[in-house]
Amino acid sequence: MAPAAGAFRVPPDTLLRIAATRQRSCDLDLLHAALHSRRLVLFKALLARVGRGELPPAARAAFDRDWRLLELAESPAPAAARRLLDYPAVGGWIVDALNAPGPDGLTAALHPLGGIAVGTALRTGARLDTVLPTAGGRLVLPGVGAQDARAARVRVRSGPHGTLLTPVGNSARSVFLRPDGRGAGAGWSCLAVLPGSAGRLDDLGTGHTLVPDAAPRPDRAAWLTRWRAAVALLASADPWRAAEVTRLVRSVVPMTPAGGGASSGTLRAAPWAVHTALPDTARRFAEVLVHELAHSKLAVLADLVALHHADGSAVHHVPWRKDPRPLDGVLQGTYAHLALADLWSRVAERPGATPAARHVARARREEYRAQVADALTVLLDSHQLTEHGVRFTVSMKQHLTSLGRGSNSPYALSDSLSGDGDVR
Amino acid sequence: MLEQRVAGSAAQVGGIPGSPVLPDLTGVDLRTLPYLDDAALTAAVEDVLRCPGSFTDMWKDSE
Repeated sequence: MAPAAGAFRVPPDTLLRIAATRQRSCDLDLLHAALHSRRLVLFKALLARVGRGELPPAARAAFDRDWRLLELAESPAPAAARRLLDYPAVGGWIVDALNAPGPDGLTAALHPLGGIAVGTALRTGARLDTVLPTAGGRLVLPGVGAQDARAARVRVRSGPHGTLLTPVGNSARSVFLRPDGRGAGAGWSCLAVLPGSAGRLDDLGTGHTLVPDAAPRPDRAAWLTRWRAAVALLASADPWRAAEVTRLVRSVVPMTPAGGGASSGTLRAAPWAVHTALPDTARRFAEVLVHELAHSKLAVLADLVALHHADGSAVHHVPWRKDPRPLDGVLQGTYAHLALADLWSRVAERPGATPAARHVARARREEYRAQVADALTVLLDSHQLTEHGVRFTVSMKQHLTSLGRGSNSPYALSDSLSGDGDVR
Repeated sequence: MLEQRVAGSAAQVGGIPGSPVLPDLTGVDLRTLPYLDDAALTAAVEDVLRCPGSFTDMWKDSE
């Protein structure tokens, strides 16, 4: 008998800690459980769409094969499988498929499922033996890497010690992948590890298509160098925030600036991914990481607790945008800017800061504080917050008020900020 | 303990009126998922299928 789905419960203190942007480990456990549950709901929705019968028989057979592979891949170690199943690009991929137009669009969109199964097997050590089609001679394993197989199909054999990818008719380009995704053989490119974290620089186009890929292929060394500098900057100013970033960010996805000048973003279906153009300084990258991570946290929390009942028909002006925003956007932006006010408050009050650095940091803090204060008024006057939304927003306001009081930082801060915020 | 459901707005999640709550699927594996016939899960799936475009929402930011 299949187990019944349970119901989440969110402790009041969890809501308040997340509102203050500084949650505990137990709060994160809840967010991770929520993200995984959302991911399974999306998978179930995909099964339902495929079950409608709109796929041509061959595409349906391919989906059934790949779904069985995924089940097999997960089975030896479901907890380990989650690292891949909950990877941001997998969420983006499912949403791509759910929104794909018509049978042809759905057929094309389902293609990555086999690669997700192989990536999952790498995590779990599952034994698979199958043949998968490539796309243009390339086999993509989302969250892991890509093989330039130069063949229409690749035989996949996996087990506890790794996975062997053998292009059919081109075995000279066989690749053996270790469980960590590193591989030996011609044509294999794995995602780069973001130093000091378990995250990846997802720069191989293994993700979904909702966000424009950066083109031409980004300079990986430049990205990793700037990531390292951004994390070092955070660590010197706010070790807690640095640890949060390195623990939670699962992927940084290079993007070309989107319409309207957007240079970074967070996709609702892919929490813990930071989509961004390459920030021009470490300080800017640090801000992007903190800002986008706040969006991810609130996106997951909003799956657990209704914070407002706005339907998007009413829009509001906020200090950081020229265009009016729906209430959900106001709430998201307020929270992300509160995290930045918090960051610059820690930077400003760090012991040993030079007067010039302290002055710059305080100016940044006050800029964000003023923006957040205005937006909090919009939220609290909207009459569209739920009871929990009011509690969440009041907690944000209390945290904002606490910033800038000085000498209350529990964090040891070093003096590594130059005037423009880069690491010396 | 706060519950997902909010008094007075029992069927709202994420600010989308009428959306069902997210069920806790911890412990459910992929082999079980296709056969899991649970009212909360069914409602959540129907909500996704009713408006899959809502999951393409992206919060965009500029410098």
